[in-house]
Amino acid sequence: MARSVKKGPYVDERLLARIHEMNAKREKRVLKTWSRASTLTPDFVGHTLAVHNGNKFVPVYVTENMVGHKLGEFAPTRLFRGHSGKLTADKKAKVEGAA
Amino acid sequence: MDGPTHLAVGLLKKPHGVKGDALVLPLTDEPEVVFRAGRTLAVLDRDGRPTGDEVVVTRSRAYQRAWLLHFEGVEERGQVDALRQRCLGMAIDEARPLEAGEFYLHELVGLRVETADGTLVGDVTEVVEAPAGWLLNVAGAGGATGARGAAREHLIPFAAGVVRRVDRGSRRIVISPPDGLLEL
Repeated sequence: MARSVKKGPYVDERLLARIHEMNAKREKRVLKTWSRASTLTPDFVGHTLAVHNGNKFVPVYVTENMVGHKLGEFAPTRLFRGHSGKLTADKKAKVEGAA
Repeated sequence: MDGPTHLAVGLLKKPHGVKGDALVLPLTDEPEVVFRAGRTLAVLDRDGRPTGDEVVVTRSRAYQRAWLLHFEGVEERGQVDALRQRCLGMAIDEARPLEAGEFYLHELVGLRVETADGTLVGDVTEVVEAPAGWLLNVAGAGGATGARGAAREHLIPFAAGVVRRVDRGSRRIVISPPDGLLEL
């Protein structure tokens, strides 16, 4: 059953308070969190969160299209390391705005 | 430095059925373009070197997480068996030109990562695909070790807010990490 709309999205209170504090100070600092169930709200956009995946902290840079999803979705508990190491696969990574 | 001549676009896992179809794991971002009927693909060994053989795709369709391809002149399961665990590739000249801010993963591996003030962070050892985007796995500089004695590694999001510049010429990436990212 889905969460009641009346309650709004779940966000860990301490995490949200720290985000609000950083937004008020216009500060950018990596926040470590174990709260994988927290939903990303627009307050998180532009921040980098270190989300624990059960083994280590995975840095997650929050962008607008991630709002509404939960933090755990972006820190997989299993990382696929790819196939043979020497291959030059036709895979591209893109960073917006890089020269 | 001599670069690779071919890009691997798929790994031929096994025959599918008895009519010469092949199950191919895509190693490309655009399988629907690369595996289009009529396309000639080079056969590569597992290290990505061309073997000299070529195949022409006559039919293709997505199948679960892989693709089923049929090649010209290949009508029996045994013919596909001979290509098992080989890679299919295309010449780099045939690849779509890269857009601004776009890089092949193999171009990023080995680049030196520095902060904006010139502090060396380490070298990129791997580019890892994560749901939030690509992550650069950077082996720490200066022999720094982590908690278990292994070389210190950093995961750096390949995002505009963190990566400032990627310079192919001088083989370096300039980042402006938020406080705490390099201490994780």
